[in-house]
Amino acid sequence: MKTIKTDLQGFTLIEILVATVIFSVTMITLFSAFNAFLSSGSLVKKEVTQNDRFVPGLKTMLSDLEQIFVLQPPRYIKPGFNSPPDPFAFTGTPSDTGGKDFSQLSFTSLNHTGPVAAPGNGVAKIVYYVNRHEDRFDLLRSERLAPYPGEPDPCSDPVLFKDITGFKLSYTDTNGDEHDSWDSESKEFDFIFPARVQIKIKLEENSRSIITAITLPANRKALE
Amino acid sequence: MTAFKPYILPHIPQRNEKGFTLLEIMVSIAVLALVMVTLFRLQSGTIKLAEHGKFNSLAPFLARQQLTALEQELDTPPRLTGAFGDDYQGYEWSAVIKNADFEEPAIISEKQFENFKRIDLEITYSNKGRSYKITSWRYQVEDEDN
Repeated sequence: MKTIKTDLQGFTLIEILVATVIFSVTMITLFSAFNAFLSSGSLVKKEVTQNDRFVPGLKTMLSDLEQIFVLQPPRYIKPGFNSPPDPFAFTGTPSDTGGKDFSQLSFTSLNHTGPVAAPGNGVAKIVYYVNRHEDRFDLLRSERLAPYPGEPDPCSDPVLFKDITGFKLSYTDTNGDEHDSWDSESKEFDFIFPARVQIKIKLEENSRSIITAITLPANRKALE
Repeated sequence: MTAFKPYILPHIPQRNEKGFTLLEIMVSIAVLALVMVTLFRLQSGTIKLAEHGKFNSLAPFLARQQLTALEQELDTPPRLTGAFGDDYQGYEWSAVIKNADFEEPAIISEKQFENFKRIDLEITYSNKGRSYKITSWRYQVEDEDN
């Protein structure tokens, strides 16, 4: 006959309850910590990707504007009633693309990537414009060397920023007043270029806009 | 008549029946804790680095914007410190504008010297010791009419 061990008794209900509570608290803590661990990783990745996205495009825009070409008088002649459009005009307009407000800018610059056809022919017309691609918007940069054949072509122009939700340019004149649009061919703007250009780009709906500004290095005097 | 005797499963001792000792548990918990601490430290390091990277890529553009704004009124700047609005909470700037110091002031005339300004601009983030400093010089061209 075997002896019966005394500690073969089970646990009491209280013991089980306490053990379960402790176990669940530990598990909840562990899992939430692990969750935070994973989500912070993906947030970090998102941030880093976003930084990588906006820096090269903005640098391109700033160096385009730094090397802007301004034709000075006497070679520049104030447009008359029937005169042909100034090939070196600076025109910034608000543009309505797919029901959203964006900006569009066209100017000439010496900063171009294309081959120079002939010496002294290094001026390119640069156009920043937003193109709708299904329900997304891309900011494109068109560059055409003089005499600027054709029109900006969304199929072949390189993309500066992909999937943006906002692109807004504003222009400050020499008096410090800000404008939403600019036309160097118009008397309203004294036939000159803006003194400064402010750039505002929003990449994602819930993220902050990236803002910067640039003083244009050259201008001409106001023409009456 | 024999008395009722409860039937109890015979206890068959097995080799592996012994639990862990307290020492074993403690060692395993210590190892686990060590691993966890290392992992979390790694993670927080990554977060810090990412924040640093974000600041370092944003600050130059903010600085550029602020320099552009400061250029407008170099002689009488309306403000020398400020923030960047709701989108950039925690970001602040401060500037010092003074006459550029030349080792040989004779190179330019006194009048020109007065027009030559040195701008020291600093962008800080949340006073967490993150700062981006830039020094730039501006020469104010006077109108020919004057």
